[in-house]
Amino acid sequence: MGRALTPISAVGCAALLLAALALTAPAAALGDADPASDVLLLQNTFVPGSPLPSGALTGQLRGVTERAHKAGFALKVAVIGSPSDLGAIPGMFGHPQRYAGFLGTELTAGKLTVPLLVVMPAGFGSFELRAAGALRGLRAPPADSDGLVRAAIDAIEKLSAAEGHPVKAPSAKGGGGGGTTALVFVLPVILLALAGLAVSRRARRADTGRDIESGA
Amino acid sequence: MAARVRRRLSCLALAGPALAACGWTACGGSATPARARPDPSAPRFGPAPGWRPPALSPASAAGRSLGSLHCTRAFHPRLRAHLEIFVDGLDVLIPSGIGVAAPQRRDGAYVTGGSCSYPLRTSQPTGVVEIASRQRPTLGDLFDVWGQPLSLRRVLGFATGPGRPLAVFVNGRRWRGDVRAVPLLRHASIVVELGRHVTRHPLYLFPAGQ
Repeated sequence: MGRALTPISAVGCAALLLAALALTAPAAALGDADPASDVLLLQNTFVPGSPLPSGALTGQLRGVTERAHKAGFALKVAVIGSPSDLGAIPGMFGHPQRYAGFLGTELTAGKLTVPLLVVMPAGFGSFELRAAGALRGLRAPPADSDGLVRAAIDAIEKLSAAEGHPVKAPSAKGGGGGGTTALVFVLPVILLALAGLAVSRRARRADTGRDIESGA
Repeated sequence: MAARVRRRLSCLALAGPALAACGWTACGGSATPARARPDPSAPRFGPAPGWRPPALSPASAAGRSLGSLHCTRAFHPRLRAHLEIFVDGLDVLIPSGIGVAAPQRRDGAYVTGGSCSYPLRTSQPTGVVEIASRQRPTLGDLFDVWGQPLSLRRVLGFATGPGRPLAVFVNGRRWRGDVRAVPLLRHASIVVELGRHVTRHPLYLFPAGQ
C-alpha cells in the first residue's frame, strides 16, 4: 500500500479535479451583449458592423433569406466578421459552431427553436438546421465582410436546395461588390492591352513613315 | 518514488474522465460537429411587453425638451457606452430609436434617422448608446429620454422588492451610488440587474474607431 495523500498533494489533486469539472459542467447563465442576438430577434439577418459589407450584397442576403422563408425554409443568418461583432463574448470568434449553439439557444423562446446559420472566417456553424450536412462541401469563407456575406448567400442556396426548397439570391442592384472586385482585376488588363495597341500602332506608323521616306 | 508516481496516476485517473468528456463534447474546441447543441450558459430574452419596452414616450416622440436635454437636427456621436438590463434573470431588449423623435426612419432592426435627436440615443437594438452631449450625461438622463422609470424602487415597469434586489455594475464592478448617477463614459459597460443574479461579461468590445 502506498502512503496516504499528503495535505499538499490532496489539495493539488482536488484543484485538478475541480478544474476538470468546471470545464465539463454547464456554465451559469451569462449576460448576452452579443449584438447578433438582439438584431436577429427583430430581423432575419445580421451582417458585420465594421467594416460594413456593400449595401448591394447586404440586400442580396436579405433577399435570399426572405425567399427561403417564403419557400417554407425559415432560417436566421449571422455573419460575424470580427470579434467586435460578438460584443461581450469576443472569445467565441473563430468558433462558429460553438457560437451557433449559444446564439440559437438565446433566440429560442419556449418550445420554438430557430434554425440558424453562422458564418465566420473560420467556417460555418448551424443550429437546428436539418440539412447542415450541405455546408460540408463549401469552401472556408474569406475574412473580408463582402466575402463573408457572399459565402452566406452561397450557403443559403445550398441549404435551401438540400432542404427541398431551392431558392436563388436576387441579382445585386447597382453592380454590387462582385462587379467592383472584377473591375479591379480587369481594368489594368484592358489598360495594358490598349497601351500595347497604341505602342504597336505608333511603331507601325513610324515604320510606314520610314518606308515612305526611304521610298521617296 | 513509486508511491509518488502512483499518487499522481490516481489523481489523473480522477480528472481524466472529466477532461475526456470535455473533449468529447467539444467544449472550448474549434472542431465543427454537424450540429450545435443548445448552450445552457446562453441567456434568454424575456417576453413582451415587459422585457421589450418601447423606444419613445409621448414627449420624446414629439421632440419636446426634457429638462436640459433638447432634441436637435444635428447629431454627432462623441462616444458610446453599452447598457444591459436583466429582470429576474431574463434579458431586456433595449430598443433602437431611443432619443430619436418621430417619425423615425427604419432599416429592419435599425433606426437610421428621425425628425430630431436628443444627445443620448440608440440606433441599434444592441444596448449601444450613442452620446453627443458635451456635458457628463448619466444613466438617469438616458432613462429620462427613454421615458422609462429608473430609481431604487423601480426599473422600467418592474418594482424592486425583497425578492427583487437592484444591483448595478459598471465595467464589471458593483456600483454603490445612486443608480441614476452612473456616468455614461466612453466604452462604459453598464449592467442593471433586478432580481436573480446573472453572471456578466465584464466588458463589451466596441468596433474599432467607435
